[in-house]
Amino acid sequence: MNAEDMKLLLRKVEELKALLVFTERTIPFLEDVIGFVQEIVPMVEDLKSSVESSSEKLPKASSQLANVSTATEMATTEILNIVERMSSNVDRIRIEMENDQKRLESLHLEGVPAGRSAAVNLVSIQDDCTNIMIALQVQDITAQQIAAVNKLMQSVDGGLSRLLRHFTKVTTEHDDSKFRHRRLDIVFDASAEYSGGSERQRVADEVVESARRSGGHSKTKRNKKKSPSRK
Amino acid sequence: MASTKFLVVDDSLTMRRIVINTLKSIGFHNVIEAADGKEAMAKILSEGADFLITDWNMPELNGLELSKWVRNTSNVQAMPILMVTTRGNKEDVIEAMKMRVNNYIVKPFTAQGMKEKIDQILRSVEPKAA
Repeated sequence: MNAEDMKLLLRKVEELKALLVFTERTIPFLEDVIGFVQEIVPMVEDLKSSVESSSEKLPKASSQLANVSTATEMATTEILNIVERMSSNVDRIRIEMENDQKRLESLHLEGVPAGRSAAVNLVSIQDDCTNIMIALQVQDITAQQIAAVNKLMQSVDGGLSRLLRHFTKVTTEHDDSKFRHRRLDIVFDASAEYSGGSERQRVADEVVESARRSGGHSKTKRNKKKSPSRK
Repeated sequence: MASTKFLVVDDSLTMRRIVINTLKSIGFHNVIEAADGKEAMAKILSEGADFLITDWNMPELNGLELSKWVRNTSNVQAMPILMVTTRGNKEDVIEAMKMRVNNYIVKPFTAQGMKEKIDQILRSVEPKAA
C-alpha cells in the first residue's frame, strides 16, 4: 500500500466518521417523528370515522327537514281552507243580517239591538280570520329558513366528502341528490325571518321615501286599457 | 279603484292565497295570480293587469327581473309595482327602487300595512283622461 492509497483510506475513514456523527444526531429526531406519527395515527382514524359518520347523518337530517317542511305546508293549507270557509260564512251571515235589518227598517220597525251588536261581533270575527291568515306567512318564511339550512348541510357534506377522499382514496364525485327534495328545492332568502318585521319595514320605508324625494318616482299616468294580447 | 285588476306573483301557493285573501279583505276582488315571473309576463300580455304585487325570490324569473321587464315594456311600463318579500336589507330595497318599483313591503306584512301601501300607490298614479 503506497502513500496515495493511505491518503485515500484516511479520507474515506473521515467521511465515514462524519456520516456516523450525522446519524448519531439525527436518530433522536427520527425517533421523535416516529413517536409523533404513532400518536397521530389513532387520532386520524378517529377523525376519519367521525367524518364518515357525519357524512352519513347529514342526508338523513335533510330528509327530516323535508318532512317538516311538507307537514307545515299541509297544516297551513288546511288552516287556510278552514279560515277561508269561516270568512265566507261570516260574510254571508253579515249580509243576511244587513238585509234583515233593512227589511225591518222598511217596515218602520227598529232592528233588534242584539242584531246590531252581533253585526259588530261578526266584523270582529272577520278581522280575526284575516289576522289568522296573515300569521300563516310564517309557513313561507320557515320554508325558506329550512331550505337555507339544507343548502348549508349540502355544502358541509361536500366538504366532508372532499376530506374523506384523502383518507380513503375514493375518486367518485360527491352525490348532491341526497339533499334534493321537492319541498326544499326552492329559491330562498337565507336572511328570511319572522320577527322584527316592523323595524325592517321602517328601514324599507325610509329608503322608499328617500328615493321618492330624490325624484325616483314622479307621478305617472295609469293606463286603464288592458295590455294587448300577443298571440 | 275597487275594479283595479291585481296580478299576484309568488312561487309559494300559501303566500299567493294570503295576499289574495288580504286584497279581498280590503276591498279588491279582481285578482289573478302567477307562480313565477315568466308566468306573470305571459299573463300580463294575455290577460292584462292594472297593478303588480310580486315576490322577489322566485324560479324562472325573479321579482326584480320581472319589474325590470315591466318598466322596459312600452305598453305596461306605467303599471304600479309593489314588491312583497322577505328581503329586508337596505341594499335590497335600494336595488328594487333602482328598478322603479313603487313601494316595498317586508314579510310578514299586516293587512293594514298592505292597504296603506296600495292606497299610497293608487293615489300617486293619475288615471288617464277619458
